[in-house]
Amino acid sequence: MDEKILQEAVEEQGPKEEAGHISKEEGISFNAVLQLRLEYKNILKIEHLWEFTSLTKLQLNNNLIQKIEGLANLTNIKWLDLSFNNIEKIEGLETLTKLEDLTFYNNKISCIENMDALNNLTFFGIGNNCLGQLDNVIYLRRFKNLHTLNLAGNPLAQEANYKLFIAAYLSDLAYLDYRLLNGETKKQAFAKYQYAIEEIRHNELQTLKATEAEQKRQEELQQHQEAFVENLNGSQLFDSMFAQDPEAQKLNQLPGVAVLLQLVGLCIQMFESGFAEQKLREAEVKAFLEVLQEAVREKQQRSAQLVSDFEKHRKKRILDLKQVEDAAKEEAQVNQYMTEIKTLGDSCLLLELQLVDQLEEIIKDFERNITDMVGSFNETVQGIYPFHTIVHSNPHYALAPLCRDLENNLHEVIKDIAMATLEKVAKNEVEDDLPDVVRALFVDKETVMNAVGASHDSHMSRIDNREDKLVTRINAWMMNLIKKIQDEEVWRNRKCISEIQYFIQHLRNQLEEVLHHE
Amino acid sequence: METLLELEEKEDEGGDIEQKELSPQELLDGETTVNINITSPGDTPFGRTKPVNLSECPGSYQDHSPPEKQLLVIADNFSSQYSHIFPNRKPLFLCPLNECGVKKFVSTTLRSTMLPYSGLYDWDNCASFVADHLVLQALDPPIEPPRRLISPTLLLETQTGTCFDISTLLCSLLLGAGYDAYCVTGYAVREMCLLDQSRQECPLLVGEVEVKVEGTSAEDERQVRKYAVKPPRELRSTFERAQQELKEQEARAELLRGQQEAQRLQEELERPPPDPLQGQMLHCWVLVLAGKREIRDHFFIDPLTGKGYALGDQSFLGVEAVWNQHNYWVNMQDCGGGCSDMEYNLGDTTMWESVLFRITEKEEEEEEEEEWSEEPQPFEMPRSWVDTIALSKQGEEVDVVREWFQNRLDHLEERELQRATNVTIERFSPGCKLKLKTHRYVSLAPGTERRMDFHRRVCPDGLLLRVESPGQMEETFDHRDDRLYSRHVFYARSPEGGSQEPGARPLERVVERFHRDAAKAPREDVAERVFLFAEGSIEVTFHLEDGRIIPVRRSFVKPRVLPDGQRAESWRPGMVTGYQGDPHEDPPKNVYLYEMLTALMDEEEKVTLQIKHSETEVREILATREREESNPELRISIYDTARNEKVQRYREDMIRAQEESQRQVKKEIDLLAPILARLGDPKVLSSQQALKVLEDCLANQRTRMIEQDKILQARYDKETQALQREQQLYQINQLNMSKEEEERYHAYCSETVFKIGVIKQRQSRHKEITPQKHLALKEKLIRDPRLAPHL
Repeated sequence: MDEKILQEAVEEQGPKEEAGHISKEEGISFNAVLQLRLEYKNILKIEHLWEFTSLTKLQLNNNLIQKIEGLANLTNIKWLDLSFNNIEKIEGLETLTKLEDLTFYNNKISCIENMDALNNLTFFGIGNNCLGQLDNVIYLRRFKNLHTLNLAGNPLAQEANYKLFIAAYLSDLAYLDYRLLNGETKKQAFAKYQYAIEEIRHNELQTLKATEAEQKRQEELQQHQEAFVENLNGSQLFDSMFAQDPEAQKLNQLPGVAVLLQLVGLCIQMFESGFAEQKLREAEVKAFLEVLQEAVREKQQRSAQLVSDFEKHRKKRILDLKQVEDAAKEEAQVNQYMTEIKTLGDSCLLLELQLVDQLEEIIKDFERNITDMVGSFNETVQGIYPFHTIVHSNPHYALAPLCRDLENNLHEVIKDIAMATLEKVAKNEVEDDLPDVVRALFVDKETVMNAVGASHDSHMSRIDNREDKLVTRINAWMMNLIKKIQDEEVWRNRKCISEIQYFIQHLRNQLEEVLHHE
Repeated sequence: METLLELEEKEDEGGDIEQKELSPQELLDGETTVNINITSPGDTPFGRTKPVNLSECPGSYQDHSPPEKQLLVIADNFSSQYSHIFPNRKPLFLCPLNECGVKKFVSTTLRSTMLPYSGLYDWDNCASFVADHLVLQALDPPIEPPRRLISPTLLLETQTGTCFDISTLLCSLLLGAGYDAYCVTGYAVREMCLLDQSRQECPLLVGEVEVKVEGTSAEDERQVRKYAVKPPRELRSTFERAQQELKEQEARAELLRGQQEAQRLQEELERPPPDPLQGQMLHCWVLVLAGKREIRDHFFIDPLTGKGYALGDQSFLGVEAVWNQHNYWVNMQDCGGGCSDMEYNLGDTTMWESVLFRITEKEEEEEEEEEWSEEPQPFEMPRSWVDTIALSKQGEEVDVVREWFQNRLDHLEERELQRATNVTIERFSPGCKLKLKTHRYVSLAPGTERRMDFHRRVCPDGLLLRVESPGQMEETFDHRDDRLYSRHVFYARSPEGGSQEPGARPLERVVERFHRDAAKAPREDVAERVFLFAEGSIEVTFHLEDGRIIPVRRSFVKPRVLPDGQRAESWRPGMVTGYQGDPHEDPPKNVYLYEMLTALMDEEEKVTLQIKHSETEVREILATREREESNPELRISIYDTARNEKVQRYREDMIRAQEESQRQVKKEIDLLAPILARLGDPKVLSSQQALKVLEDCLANQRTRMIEQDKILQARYDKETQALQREQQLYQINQLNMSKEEEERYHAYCSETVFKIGVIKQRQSRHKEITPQKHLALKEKLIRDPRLAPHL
């Protein structure tokens, strides 16, 4: 298989008659070919096909192919015929997600596998192969659209309950081995394999539910992340504070160490306010984009009107030019036409310039507003300005400082308890149920204090981390957004200007052509 | 002054008007007295009206009834007393001449009439009708009452009259409509008397201003937005602008000055020239008092404009007298400050002096209880001498004729003919076979201007509207798979005159427009294609890409085609020109363009065919319409058996079938048929034949009965013999018979005995029946219409 074969095949199967001549003259590019037949060509290896990216139908039947390869680029393919080859293993189809019709008739395949990506498969022909295991067919259950299957000529087709088995496990199948599977057969099959089928269905349903739940959770998390308050709607922060702190776990077993439940409440407040803030930000972005789009649209309409007005007269002008005999008159007309072209270009550019000015202004406004919003959110989170919390109706707004206060309090409490316990240990008054690990801490004051201090530090650093994470991410989001808006505006502007320039150039060329012809 | 029944003085009729002609008039308010030289008005009773044959007038127009005579005497008396007591006041307008030159009291000229038009029931419509349909003939001189007061009937005929005539008509109509209306004679401003409305605001302009106010409120709403693009900055020097503004200001000031000057001049011009007759211009209008027809407040109606005015309106300067069909009241109040302070309690004799003594309604109720005979009966105003007021329809000018239809087979519901333009608009209900919704045309001939609206989603090609005008046809579509929404056909001018068949009109160009198809890329989605038949080219414009302002365009020149259909030219890239759009994109391949051209040429043929089809369709529709119009048929429900022909035919068929089957049944029991057949089916039987037929028939029956009897007897014999035989056998073999045989024998015996019993029963019944049957048959035969006359 080489370029020459491909070229020949393409030309042979391309347009006919006059269109054929034309296409031959200018050459056919492989990436525009939609269908290709490569049968009876003694092809050993599939190669050189990477250029055929638009291909929807490929016939490689009656060759000597042993391995499926080199098809990864043909992502648009819907119909693939590989019958009458020497293929032993199904592989290399991972990227062909649009595939609907797949045939492996008369090969040496012994197992149906590696087809997970083919979600759109409706026809699957694998007759005259070496499939021996009936259970292997259950693999095909995942193709919801599959309605025709050909398995005839395989060892498994000799089995007594072959038909009923397949009818039972592939209940949506309409045709098996080119014969209609009627309702009677399906009923029989279902009666026979009822329990097995129901079990499978049940399992599938469970998996489906699980994936759905997972998806939902992911979506929620995504939402929370967009509001930058993920994992704050419960005790996650609190849990994580203690999860990686062995000292705290030990200390917690001391009598009298209260759980820091208030922290959870704070987190939830934080979470809710984060959501509210996100809504506000979204509304802001939406309002801005609406105005932006409207302005762009309005300008476009006006420019398009200018152009179409011009176009209405253009044809007449050109006709006039062609008819004029007098050189002086002609020059006058040409000059007039040139001026008109220039005026058109200038007025289009002027409109664009005005728009750029206008947009620059509102983009600046938007930037300022969104920065203010993000800034105030950050401030409330960090509690830099204590007054700010008063401005908001919720006095517990500032997350970080309050969390720290709480942690400090806790630290004090634990310290006191630890000291008391130490004294008790020293006096040997302690209860017997205190675990040995904990008891080991209370050897002397220093050890206890070290443990308590370490625990406190670790908690503080967790709170700091969470705060940093939130602030960094929201800032990054803001920068991205602003950059995106600016980039888009620049891109739009360049595109528009180049369009105008190109059109003006086109008009001038046209005029020159007319003059040249004369 | 009291109303007197005695006749005191008599004067020659019509004398006083001429007498007081040039005497100085002193007004009620005692203002300046003015001398005016006005010659006596010529005796032209109807101004510029067409002559009316007065001899056709009813008798009451030309003569006086006795009560009228009495009334005239009373009026003369009243008038002379009045002029005696108030020598400064103008003589009363009491008894002018009518069109026949006969003196009539003004109240009797009012003829309360209700016209049979619901549109004239309310005062405003009635007044505007009177104002719009009558032409004012100004008073001449304007300070004198007219000599004549013509009847409302004549006024409607001539449509021209003085304010007195017009008020009389309006008052008559209002009285008929149930209003408490009065004619008022008095003084008004010149503009009102002469129907000069040039100083009033145009009512049409007032409406426009209101619309504008609504528009601005909608704009305000849009501006409540957080972000808004500022209007484009003006790139001009501020200094220049300041200078410019300065200049403009100056210019504006100048302009303003000029305007003010002009306005002043205008105002000066427009200001009414000082009216020498201020306060003396005589006018007649209508007063409507509250109380009837849910009127809350008294008000005036100016009959010349048809507008209502409040009593205090500045236009009315004074009231001399008011009258209705019952009485005449002279105003005794001072009108120096206009009419605003006037009281309209007509029963109050200190304010209003009435000509006839007339008890008001309240007093009437009280008096009913008292004895009548003592007091002299008050004089009643005689009946109106005017004939019934009628409005002829002939004079009406109708702009639009509307006809409504129902139950038509062609589903026509309404036809509207606009007289001015001669345009007919027909409206059809859904279900019309032609799918038409409305059809607007001047003539049903094909090729003329027309507009056909079709019912939505009924035409298979999605056609919604087809507008034809000379040389053009525009079709609008909806919900088409190819997203075509408009096709505009321009026909070339026919080479020689317009004698050609409309179907053979050559095409000049066809413009088709398409909606955007989201499934295609914009640069491949056709927005407009123009087939230029005359030039042999096709122009295609594609939809605009997002963010672009210049659409991709391609212009194809068709290869020449030989007469035998072969192409004379092969493809060359120069056949396609156009704007490519994106400079960075590769130009399309020639194959692509070639295929597009081929496809377009195919399309062109299809479009031509479709246009032909449309033309035929139009002609068919017109032909069908003409046929339907010339022979309109009704749509009849299938349940309407009396009128639905199909159902009727079906029913008739059913009845016929029923009769047929009945006849067949009759034939079957015709006993005489076989015998008559033997006689050769004679039409009429002779009495001999009849007797024979009767006898034969009876004999037949007798033989059949005997035969039946014989059969029964034979069966009886057979069974008895069989039984006897068995019994004999039994007796012989009784001893050596087994039990089973014995049982079988007994069973046989009982069975046969039963059978014999049944046969016996049947025999006896047969014997009973035979004579009865015989008699019944005989009776039936005797009653048979063919035998009866002979028996």
